[in-house]
Amino acid sequence: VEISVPNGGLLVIASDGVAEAHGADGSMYGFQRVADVVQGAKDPAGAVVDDVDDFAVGAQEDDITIVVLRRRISAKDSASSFGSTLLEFQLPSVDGIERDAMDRVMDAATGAGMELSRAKKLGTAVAEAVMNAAEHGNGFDPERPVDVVVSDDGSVVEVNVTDNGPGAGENIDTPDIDAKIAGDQGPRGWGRFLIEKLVDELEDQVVDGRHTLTMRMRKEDS
Amino acid sequence: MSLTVNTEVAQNVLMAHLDGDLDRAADEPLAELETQFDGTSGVVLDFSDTGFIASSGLALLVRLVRSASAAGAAVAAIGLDDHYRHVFEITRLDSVMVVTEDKEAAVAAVSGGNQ
Repeated sequence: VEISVPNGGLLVIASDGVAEAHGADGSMYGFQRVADVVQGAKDPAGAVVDDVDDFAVGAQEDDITIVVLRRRISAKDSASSFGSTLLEFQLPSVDGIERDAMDRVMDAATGAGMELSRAKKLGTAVAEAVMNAAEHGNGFDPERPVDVVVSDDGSVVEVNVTDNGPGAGENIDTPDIDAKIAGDQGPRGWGRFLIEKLVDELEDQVVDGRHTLTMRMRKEDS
Repeated sequence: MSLTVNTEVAQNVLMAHLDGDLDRAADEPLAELETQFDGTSGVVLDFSDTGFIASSGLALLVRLVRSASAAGAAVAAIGLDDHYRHVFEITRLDSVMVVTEDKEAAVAAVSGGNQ
């Protein structure tokens, strides 16, 4: 059996003890009521169990097991469509993911024919973007992933890094080494600056509260 | 890979070989290195076995240069590849430390201290 679940859609699997529970008038609970109850519910499985409990009369007739899977809205779908997708992955918002993201994107970019020196720049920019998304976008909440999508249109590689958090994003002064050495500026705050300096094009967009940073890099120096 | 710092002192210059990644996790090993600055005229950071330098690592290098400056020591960097030389150029970290390929030149540059 192959089932397609649309972005943001739910797949609900329930044992027959749910649909075949009997109400006071002798009618069965039914699958339609399951579908109705999960709509918009914050805890869909819990909502069905509670509703079956309210509906059914007498002792529970059969086991009640329910599994609900929600397909996350993919970063690819919330970002611009660009060429063909080379690579798509998700990382938890924890310290240390930037190295992994960098290595994977560099492999994909060089595999697609990007010059190594340019792939290193893109990789460093992606590492910084992923760290910003994890820290400032997702507040280092391991439950909120960072989505990375790498696409190729033939001459340019595009990387979209999307956070899933309520974070306000990094908002800092342009870093100045002299001010930092003098102690007039904190030592940190290099991330966004590095990304801007390393990639050819940079775009920010916010869709449904999710922030996506789009970085584009030509495969060869032009 | 977490950072391991191996040091040796020659002619009053502290040689520090940085093996691993320079990211947030490098905070402690670099703080430990900074405790060794007193009484040296200069510090040479050897990046030839440093795999990855994150912006959090650049922030730690800023702190390190400040510590060295407070101790009267100058800082030099050797072993940076082309990519990270470029990163040091755009961040202008190369204006607060001597970036060179040559170990002897680095030692000579910092042996007079931070004057």
